[in-house]
Amino acid sequence: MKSPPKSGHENPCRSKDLKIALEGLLGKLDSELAQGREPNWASLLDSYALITGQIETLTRYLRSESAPRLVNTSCFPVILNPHRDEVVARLTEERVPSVNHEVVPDYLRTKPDPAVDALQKELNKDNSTIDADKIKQVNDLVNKLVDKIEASLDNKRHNLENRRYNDDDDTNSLIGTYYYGIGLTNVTSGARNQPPVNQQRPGGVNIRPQQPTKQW
Amino acid sequence: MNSGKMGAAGLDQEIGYNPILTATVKNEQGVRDVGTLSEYSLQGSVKDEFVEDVKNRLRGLCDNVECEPFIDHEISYSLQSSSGNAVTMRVSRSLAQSKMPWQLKYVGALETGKNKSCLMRNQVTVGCSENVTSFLTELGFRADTEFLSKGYLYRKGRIKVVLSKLCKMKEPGQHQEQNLLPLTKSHLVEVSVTTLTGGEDPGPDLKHFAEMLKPQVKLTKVDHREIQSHTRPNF
Repeated sequence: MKSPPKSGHENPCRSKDLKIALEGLLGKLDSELAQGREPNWASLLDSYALITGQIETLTRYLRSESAPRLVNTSCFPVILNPHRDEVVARLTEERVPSVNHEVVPDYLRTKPDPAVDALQKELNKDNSTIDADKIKQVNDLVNKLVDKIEASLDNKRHNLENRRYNDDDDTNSLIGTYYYGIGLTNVTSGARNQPPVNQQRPGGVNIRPQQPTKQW
Repeated sequence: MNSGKMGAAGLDQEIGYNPILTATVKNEQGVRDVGTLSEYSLQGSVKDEFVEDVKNRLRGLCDNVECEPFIDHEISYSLQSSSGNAVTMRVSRSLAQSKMPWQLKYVGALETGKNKSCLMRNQVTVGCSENVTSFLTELGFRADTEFLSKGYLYRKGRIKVVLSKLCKMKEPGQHQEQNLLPLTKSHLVEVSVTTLTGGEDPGPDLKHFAEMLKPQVKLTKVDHREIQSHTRPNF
Protein backbone atom coordinates (compact mmCIF):
# COMPACT_ATOMS: atom_id res chain seq x y z
CA MET A 1 0.00 0.00 0.00
CA LYS A 2 1.44 3.34 -0.94
CA SER A 3 1.81 5.70 2.02
CA PRO A 4 0.50 9.27 1.79
CA PRO A 5 3.01 12.09 1.32
CA LYS A 6 4.38 13.69 4.46
CA SER A 7 1.96 16.33 5.64
CA GLY A 8 2.54 19.62 7.45
CA HIS A 9 3.69 19.60 11.07
CA GLU A 10 0.29 20.69 12.38
CA ASN A 11 -1.50 17.73 10.95
CA PRO A 12 -0.12 15.12 13.33
CA CYS A 13 -1.41 17.17 16.28
CA ARG A 14 -4.93 17.23 14.97
CA SER A 15 -4.98 13.66 13.92
CA LYS A 16 -3.36 12.73 17.19
CA ASP A 17 -6.14 14.50 19.12
CA LEU A 18 -8.68 12.77 17.00
CA LYS A 19 -7.01 9.45 17.62
CA ILE A 20 -7.05 10.07 21.34
CA ALA A 21 -10.73 11.03 21.27
CA LEU A 22 -11.66 7.96 19.25
CA GLU A 23 -9.69 5.76 21.59
CA GLY A 24 -11.52 7.35 24.49
CA LEU A 25 -14.88 6.59 22.96
CA LEU A 26 -14.01 3.03 22.17
CA GLY A 27 -12.64 2.58 25.65
CA LYS A 28 -15.89 3.82 27.16
CA LEU A 29 -17.94 1.50 25.01
CA ASP A 30 -15.76 -1.47 25.77
CA SER A 31 -15.71 -0.95 29.50
CA GLU A 32 -19.45 -0.43 29.70
CA LEU A 33 -20.22 -3.40 27.53
CA ALA A 34 -17.79 -5.59 29.37
CA GLN A 35 -19.61 -4.89 32.60
CA GLY A 36 -22.89 -5.57 30.85
CA ARG A 37 -24.38 -2.24 31.87
CA GLU A 38 -26.32 0.10 29.70
CA PRO A 39 -23.81 2.63 28.29
CA ASN A 40 -23.85 6.12 29.77
CA TRP A 41 -25.46 7.96 26.88
CA ALA A 42 -24.54 11.35 28.16
CA SER A 43 -20.82 10.65 28.11
CA LEU A 44 -21.11 8.87 24.76
CA LEU A 45 -22.81 11.89 23.30
CA ASP A 46 -20.04 14.04 24.69
CA SER A 47 -17.47 11.88 22.96
CA TYR A 48 -19.40 12.03 19.69
CA ALA A 49 -19.54 15.78 19.93
CA LEU A 50 -15.83 15.97 20.59
CA ILE A 51 -14.98 13.70 17.69
CA THR A 52 -17.27 15.57 15.34
CA GLY A 53 -15.58 18.79 16.30
CA GLN A 54 -12.18 17.40 15.67
CA ILE A 55 -13.12 15.93 12.28
CA GLU A 56 -14.52 19.31 11.39
CA THR A 57 -11.25 21.03 12.28
CA LEU A 58 -9.29 18.49 10.35
CA THR A 59 -11.39 18.80 7.21
CA ARG A 60 -11.29 22.56 7.44
CA TYR A 61 -7.56 22.42 7.63
CA LEU A 62 -7.35 20.08 4.73
CA ARG A 63 -9.45 22.42 2.61
CA SER A 64 -7.20 25.35 3.36
CA GLU A 65 -4.32 26.48 1.20
CA SER A 66 -1.52 25.35 3.49
CA ALA A 67 -2.59 21.72 3.49
CA PRO A 68 -1.08 19.27 1.08
CA ARG A 69 -3.31 18.46 -1.85
CA LEU A 70 -4.55 15.08 -0.73
CA VAL A 71 -7.35 15.04 -3.29
CA ASN A 72 -4.97 13.89 -5.90
CA THR A 73 -3.74 11.03 -3.77
CA SER A 74 -5.57 7.82 -3.25
CA CYS A 75 -5.01 4.84 -1.09
CA PHE A 76 -5.65 1.45 -2.54
CA PRO A 77 -4.41 -2.02 -1.80
CA VAL A 78 -1.92 -3.48 -4.21
CA ILE A 79 -1.28 -6.88 -2.68
CA LEU A 80 -3.36 -8.67 -0.07
CA ASN A 81 -1.24 -10.62 2.35
CA PRO A 82 -2.71 -12.71 5.13
CA HIS A 83 0.55 -12.64 7.00
CA ARG A 84 1.70 -9.95 9.35
CA ASP A 85 3.23 -6.87 7.75
CA GLU A 86 5.71 -5.12 10.02
CA VAL A 87 5.73 -1.75 8.19
CA VAL A 88 1.97 -1.38 8.26
CA ALA A 89 1.82 -2.56 11.83
CA ARG A 90 4.37 0.03 12.89
CA LEU A 91 2.66 2.83 10.96
CA THR A 92 -0.74 2.06 12.39
CA GLU A 93 0.55 1.42 15.92
CA GLU A 94 -0.56 -2.21 15.88
CA ARG A 95 -4.13 -1.39 14.93
CA VAL A 96 -3.73 -3.01 11.52
CA PRO A 97 -1.27 -5.89 11.85
CA SER A 98 -1.83 -7.16 8.30
CA VAL A 99 -3.39 -6.00 5.03
CA ASN A 100 -5.73 -8.88 4.40
CA HIS A 101 -9.16 -9.46 2.87
CA GLU A 102 -10.96 -8.67 6.13
CA VAL A 103 -9.30 -5.36 6.80
CA VAL A 104 -9.45 -3.84 3.33
CA PRO A 105 -13.23 -3.70 2.67
CA ASP A 106 -13.80 -2.32 6.14
CA TYR A 107 -11.10 0.33 6.43
CA LEU A 108 -11.11 1.50 2.83
CA ARG A 109 -14.88 1.64 2.58
CA THR A 110 -16.50 4.46 0.64
CA LYS A 111 -20.10 3.47 1.18
CA PRO A 112 -21.74 2.25 4.37
CA ASP A 113 -22.05 -1.44 5.07
CA PRO A 114 -25.07 -2.96 3.20
CA ALA A 115 -26.92 -3.78 6.39
CA VAL A 116 -26.32 -0.30 7.78
CA ASP A 117 -27.26 1.19 4.43
CA ALA A 118 -30.59 -0.63 4.41
CA LEU A 119 -31.32 0.52 7.98
CA GLN A 120 -30.53 4.09 7.09
CA LYS A 121 -32.78 3.92 4.03
CA GLU A 122 -35.56 2.52 6.17
CA LEU A 123 -35.24 5.32 8.69
CA ASN A 124 -35.12 8.00 6.01
CA LYS A 125 -38.05 6.58 4.07
CA ASP A 126 -40.65 8.62 5.91
CA ASN A 127 -38.75 11.83 5.32
CA SER A 128 -39.81 12.15 1.71
CA THR A 129 -43.36 10.82 2.06
CA ILE A 130 -44.58 13.13 4.76
CA ASP A 131 -45.79 16.54 3.70
CA ALA A 132 -43.65 19.39 4.90
CA ASP A 133 -46.78 21.39 5.63
CA LYS A 134 -48.17 18.69 7.82
CA ILE A 135 -44.97 18.52 9.76
CA LYS A 136 -45.14 22.24 10.34
CA GLN A 137 -48.76 21.96 11.42
CA VAL A 138 -48.04 19.26 13.95
CA ASN A 139 -45.07 21.20 15.23
CA ASP A 140 -47.16 24.34 15.70
CA LEU A 141 -49.87 22.40 17.48
CA VAL A 142 -47.44 20.84 19.90
CA ASN A 143 -45.82 24.19 20.54
CA LYS A 144 -49.17 25.81 21.25
CA LEU A 145 -50.11 23.01 23.62
CA VAL A 146 -46.86 23.32 25.49
CA ASP A 147 -47.28 27.09 25.78
CA LYS A 148 -50.78 26.64 27.18
CA ILE A 149 -49.59 24.14 29.75
CA GLU A 150 -46.74 26.40 30.74
CA ALA A 151 -49.07 29.37 31.17
CA SER A 152 -51.48 27.33 33.26
CA LEU A 153 -48.70 26.07 35.50
CA ASP A 154 -47.34 29.57 35.96
CA ASN A 155 -50.79 30.81 36.84
CA LYS A 156 -51.31 28.10 39.41
CA ARG A 157 -47.93 28.73 40.97
CA HIS A 158 -48.66 32.44 41.10
CA ASN A 159 -52.02 31.80 42.75
CA LEU A 160 -50.53 29.49 45.31
CA GLU A 161 -47.80 31.92 46.20
CA ASN A 162 -50.12 34.89 46.48
CA ARG A 163 -53.00 33.15 48.14
CA ARG A 164 -54.69 35.33 50.67
CA TYR A 165 -56.05 33.34 53.55
CA ASN A 166 -57.44 36.23 55.45
CA ASP A 167 -58.93 39.61 54.84
CA ASP A 168 -57.84 42.42 57.12
CA ASP A 169 -61.09 44.29 56.60
CA ASP A 170 -62.98 41.22 57.65
CA THR A 171 -60.78 40.82 60.71
CA ASN A 172 -61.45 44.35 61.82
CA SER A 173 -65.17 44.07 61.11
CA LEU A 174 -65.48 40.85 63.04
CA ILE A 175 -63.60 42.18 66.02
CA GLY A 176 -65.62 45.36 65.95
CA THR A 177 -68.83 43.39 65.90
CA TYR A 178 -67.82 40.89 68.52
CA TYR A 179 -66.43 43.30 71.04
CA TYR A 180 -68.23 46.53 70.33
CA GLY A 181 -71.38 45.57 68.48
CA ILE A 182 -70.46 47.63 65.43
CA GLY A 183 -72.89 47.07 62.63
CA LEU A 184 -75.49 45.30 64.70
CA THR A 185 -78.91 46.79 65.11
CA ASN A 186 -79.79 47.94 68.57
CA VAL A 187 -82.26 45.55 70.11
CA THR A 188 -84.47 48.00 71.91
CA SER A 189 -84.44 51.04 69.74
CA GLY A 190 -83.90 49.39 66.36
CA ALA A 191 -81.17 51.85 65.41
CA ARG A 192 -77.97 50.59 63.82
CA ASN A 193 -75.21 50.53 66.33
CA GLN A 194 -72.50 53.03 65.52
CA PRO A 195 -68.92 52.85 66.75
CA PRO A 196 -68.87 54.20 70.29
CA VAL A 197 -66.61 57.18 69.63
CA ASN A 198 -69.08 58.78 67.27
CA GLN A 199 -72.04 58.47 69.56
CA GLN A 200 -73.39 61.56 71.18
CA ARG A 201 -74.41 60.47 74.61
CA PRO A 202 -75.22 63.29 76.95
CA GLY A 203 -74.95 61.86 80.41
CA GLY A 204 -78.09 61.10 82.27
CA VAL A 205 -80.47 62.16 79.54
CA ASN A 206 -80.36 58.99 77.59
CA ILE A 207 -82.88 56.98 79.51
CA ARG A 208 -85.16 55.26 77.12
CA PRO A 209 -88.83 54.97 77.96
CA GLN A 210 -89.69 51.72 79.64
CA GLN A 211 -90.48 49.24 76.97
CA PRO A 212 -91.51 45.68 77.54
CA THR A 213 -88.32 43.84 76.74
CA LYS A 214 -88.64 40.73 74.72
CA GLN A 215 -88.32 37.52 76.66
CA TRP A 216 -86.03 35.00 75.15
CA MET B 1 -68.08 30.38 75.86
CA ASN B 2 -70.75 27.78 76.15
CA SER B 3 -69.91 24.49 74.64
CA GLY B 4 -70.53 20.84 74.92
CA LYS B 5 -70.12 17.65 72.97
CA MET B 6 -72.55 17.38 70.09
CA GLY B 7 -73.36 13.76 69.75
CA ALA B 8 -75.20 12.02 66.97
CA ALA B 9 -78.42 12.21 68.95
CA GLY B 10 -78.03 15.96 68.92
CA LEU B 11 -77.72 17.87 72.08
CA ASP B 12 -77.60 17.50 75.80
CA GLN B 13 -74.72 15.18 76.26
CA GLU B 14 -71.99 15.34 78.79
CA ILE B 15 -70.44 18.71 79.14
CA GLY B 16 -66.75 18.25 78.54
CA TYR B 17 -65.46 21.64 79.45
CA ASN B 18 -66.25 24.05 82.24
CA PRO B 19 -66.30 27.48 80.70
CA ILE B 20 -66.71 29.28 83.92
CA LEU B 21 -63.28 29.87 85.28
CA THR B 22 -63.29 31.06 88.79
CA ALA B 23 -60.54 32.62 90.74
CA THR B 24 -61.50 30.76 93.86
CA VAL B 25 -59.60 28.43 96.03
CA LYS B 26 -61.01 25.81 98.32
CA ASN B 27 -59.39 25.19 101.63
CA GLU B 28 -60.51 24.10 105.11
CA GLN B 29 -62.24 27.37 105.82
CA GLY B 30 -64.27 27.25 102.65
CA VAL B 31 -64.08 28.88 99.30
CA ARG B 32 -61.99 32.01 99.04
CA ASP B 33 -61.60 34.46 96.27
CA VAL B 34 -57.94 34.89 95.45
CA GLY B 35 -58.02 37.57 92.85
CA THR B 36 -59.25 38.67 89.48
CA LEU B 37 -58.90 36.86 86.23
CA SER B 38 -57.35 38.38 83.16
CA GLU B 39 -57.78 37.27 79.64
CA TYR B 40 -54.78 37.51 77.35
CA SER B 41 -55.71 37.17 73.73
CA LEU B 42 -54.73 37.43 70.10
CA GLN B 43 -57.20 37.73 67.27
CA GLY B 44 -57.27 37.09 63.61
CA SER B 45 -59.54 35.84 60.90
CA VAL B 46 -59.57 33.33 58.12
CA LYS B 47 -61.69 33.20 54.98
CA ASP B 48 -64.50 30.69 54.99
CA GLU B 49 -63.05 28.55 52.24
CA PHE B 50 -59.93 27.87 54.31
CA VAL B 51 -61.67 27.00 57.55
CA GLU B 52 -61.31 23.27 57.01
CA ASP B 53 -57.55 23.68 56.58
CA VAL B 54 -57.35 25.60 59.82
CA LYS B 55 -59.45 23.01 61.59
CA ASN B 56 -57.15 20.25 60.44
CA ARG B 57 -54.13 22.16 61.58
CA LEU B 58 -55.70 22.84 64.94
CA ARG B 59 -56.61 19.21 65.30
CA GLY B 60 -52.95 18.41 64.94
CA LEU B 61 -51.68 21.19 67.16
CA CYS B 62 -54.15 21.01 69.99
CA ASP B 63 -54.89 18.49 72.69
CA ASN B 64 -56.01 15.10 71.59
CA VAL B 65 -59.68 15.78 72.16
CA GLU B 66 -62.33 16.20 69.52
CA CYS B 67 -63.09 19.81 68.82
CA GLU B 68 -66.23 21.07 70.46
CA PRO B 69 -68.79 22.71 68.24
CA PHE B 70 -70.88 25.38 69.82
CA ILE B 71 -73.68 27.74 69.00
CA ASP B 72 -73.87 30.72 71.31
CA HIS B 73 -76.40 33.45 71.46
CA GLU B 74 -74.83 36.55 72.98
CA ILE B 75 -76.65 39.63 74.07
CA SER B 76 -74.88 42.66 75.37
CA TYR B 77 -76.49 44.86 77.95
CA SER B 78 -75.40 48.28 78.99
CA LEU B 79 -76.20 50.53 81.88
CA GLN B 80 -75.71 54.20 81.49
CA SER B 81 -74.52 55.52 84.81
CA SER B 82 -75.05 59.07 86.00
CA SER B 83 -71.38 59.89 85.58
CA GLY B 84 -71.66 59.29 81.87
CA ASN B 85 -69.82 55.99 81.71
CA ALA B 86 -71.56 52.92 80.45
CA VAL B 87 -71.13 49.55 82.02
CA THR B 88 -71.56 46.61 79.69
CA MET B 89 -72.35 43.06 80.53
CA ARG B 90 -72.78 40.12 78.20
CA VAL B 91 -75.24 37.35 78.53
CA SER B 92 -74.34 34.25 76.69
CA ARG B 93 -76.33 31.09 76.33
CA SER B 94 -75.73 27.93 74.43
CA LEU B 95 -78.25 27.00 71.77
CA ALA B 96 -76.59 23.66 71.28
CA GLN B 97 -76.46 22.63 74.89
CA SER B 98 -79.62 23.27 76.81
CA LYS B 99 -78.15 21.89 80.04
CA MET B 100 -75.40 24.46 80.17
CA PRO B 101 -76.08 27.37 82.45
CA TRP B 102 -76.40 30.79 80.99
CA GLN B 103 -73.33 32.93 81.45
CA LEU B 104 -73.03 36.47 82.59
CA LYS B 105 -69.75 37.99 81.60
CA TYR B 106 -68.13 41.22 82.50
CA VAL B 107 -65.26 42.20 80.27
CA GLY B 108 -63.13 45.08 81.31
CA ALA B 109 -61.42 47.59 79.13
CA LEU B 110 -58.24 46.74 77.32
CA GLU B 111 -55.16 47.33 79.36
CA THR B 112 -52.59 48.95 77.21
CA GLY B 113 -48.87 49.10 77.39
CA LYS B 114 -48.11 46.51 80.01
CA ASN B 115 -48.18 43.48 77.84
CA LYS B 116 -46.47 43.97 74.52
CA SER B 117 -47.30 40.72 72.82
CA CYS B 118 -51.02 40.31 73.34
CA LEU B 119 -54.18 42.03 74.42
CA MET B 120 -55.09 41.87 78.05
CA ARG B 121 -58.32 42.65 79.79
CA ASN B 122 -59.97 41.76 83.05
CA GLN B 123 -62.89 39.48 82.93
CA VAL B 124 -65.38 37.93 85.29
CA THR B 125 -67.68 35.15 84.17
CA VAL B 126 -70.41 33.63 86.27
CA GLY B 127 -73.03 31.04 85.62
CA CYS B 128 -76.61 32.10 86.02
CA SER B 129 -80.15 30.98 85.47
CA GLU B 130 -82.36 31.83 82.58
CA ASN B 131 -83.98 34.83 84.17
CA VAL B 132 -80.78 36.83 84.09
CA THR B 133 -82.23 38.96 81.33
CA SER B 134 -85.13 40.16 83.44
CA PHE B 135 -82.75 40.59 86.36
CA LEU B 136 -80.54 42.92 84.34
CA THR B 137 -83.50 44.80 83.01
CA GLU B 138 -84.71 45.35 86.58
CA LEU B 139 -81.30 46.71 87.46
CA GLY B 140 -81.62 49.22 84.69
CA PHE B 141 -79.56 47.61 81.97
CA ARG B 142 -80.80 47.91 78.45
CA ALA B 143 -80.19 45.28 75.80
CA ASP B 144 -77.85 46.71 73.23
CA THR B 145 -76.98 44.24 70.59
CA GLU B 146 -77.14 40.55 70.05
CA PHE B 147 -75.58 38.11 67.69
CA LEU B 148 -75.12 34.44 67.23
CA SER B 149 -71.71 32.86 67.16
CA LYS B 150 -71.31 29.38 65.70
CA GLY B 151 -68.06 27.57 65.67
CA TYR B 152 -65.55 25.27 67.18
CA LEU B 153 -63.55 25.31 70.36
CA TYR B 154 -60.09 23.83 70.62
CA ARG B 155 -57.80 23.65 73.60
CA LYS B 156 -54.10 23.26 74.03
CA GLY B 157 -53.16 23.18 77.66
CA ARG B 158 -54.43 26.45 79.04
CA ILE B 159 -54.73 28.05 75.61
CA LYS B 160 -58.25 28.25 74.29
CA VAL B 161 -58.73 28.56 70.53
CA VAL B 162 -62.08 29.66 69.25
CA LEU B 163 -62.96 29.50 65.57
CA SER B 164 -66.33 31.14 65.07
CA LYS B 165 -68.70 32.53 62.50
CA LEU B 166 -70.67 35.52 63.68
CA CYS B 167 -74.24 35.87 62.49
CA LYS B 168 -76.59 38.75 62.76
CA MET B 169 -80.19 38.15 63.61
CA LYS B 170 -82.70 39.81 61.36
CA GLU B 171 -85.40 39.85 63.99
CA PRO B 172 -84.44 40.36 67.61
CA GLY B 173 -84.48 37.10 69.48
CA GLN B 174 -85.08 34.97 66.42
CA HIS B 175 -82.24 32.56 66.23
CA GLN B 176 -83.60 30.15 63.67
CA GLU B 177 -81.46 29.33 60.68
CA GLN B 178 -83.56 31.28 58.19
CA ASN B 179 -83.36 34.38 60.29
CA LEU B 180 -79.59 34.56 60.43
CA LEU B 181 -77.34 36.70 58.34
CA PRO B 182 -73.69 35.69 58.39
CA LEU B 183 -71.35 38.62 58.88
CA THR B 184 -68.46 38.85 56.42
CA LYS B 185 -67.14 35.86 54.56
CA SER B 186 -64.62 35.01 57.24
CA HIS B 187 -64.41 33.22 60.50
CA LEU B 188 -63.07 34.93 63.57
CA VAL B 189 -60.16 33.20 65.25
CA GLU B 190 -59.31 34.05 68.79
CA VAL B 191 -56.58 32.51 70.87
CA SER B 192 -56.69 33.27 74.55
CA VAL B 193 -55.48 32.34 77.99
CA THR B 194 -57.44 33.24 81.08
CA THR B 195 -55.37 33.32 84.20
CA LEU B 196 -54.97 35.17 87.46
CA THR B 197 -54.00 38.78 87.12
CA GLY B 198 -50.41 39.42 87.97
CA GLY B 199 -49.37 35.88 87.35
CA GLU B 200 -46.93 34.63 84.80
CA ASP B 201 -47.32 36.27 81.42
CA PRO B 202 -48.72 33.80 78.88
CA GLY B 203 -47.78 36.16 76.05
CA PRO B 204 -44.83 34.10 74.76
CA ASP B 205 -46.92 30.92 74.74
CA LEU B 206 -49.63 32.62 72.76
CA LYS B 207 -47.13 34.09 70.33
CA HIS B 208 -45.53 30.71 69.81
CA PHE B 209 -48.90 29.17 69.11
CA ALA B 210 -49.77 31.97 66.74
CA GLU B 211 -46.61 31.29 64.74
CA MET B 212 -47.77 27.74 64.15
CA LEU B 213 -51.01 28.86 62.58
CA LYS B 214 -49.35 31.01 59.96
CA PRO B 215 -49.89 31.65 57.08
CA GLN B 216 -53.52 30.62 57.21
CA VAL B 217 -54.31 32.74 60.20
CA LYS B 218 -52.48 35.90 61.12
CA LEU B 219 -53.02 36.24 64.83
CA THR B 220 -52.08 39.66 66.01
CA LYS B 221 -52.62 42.09 68.79
CA VAL B 222 -55.22 44.05 66.91
CA ASP B 223 -55.44 47.73 67.67
CA HIS B 224 -58.90 48.06 69.15
CA ARG B 225 -58.87 51.82 69.21
CA GLU B 226 -58.48 51.82 65.45
CA ILE B 227 -61.40 49.47 65.17
CA GLN B 228 -63.57 51.45 67.50
CA SER B 229 -63.06 54.68 65.68
CA HIS B 230 -62.69 53.75 62.05
CA THR B 231 -64.28 50.49 61.19
CA ARG B 232 -67.29 50.48 59.01
CA PRO B 233 -68.95 47.10 59.11
CA ASN B 234 -67.94 44.95 56.18
CA PHE B 235 -71.33 43.40 55.59
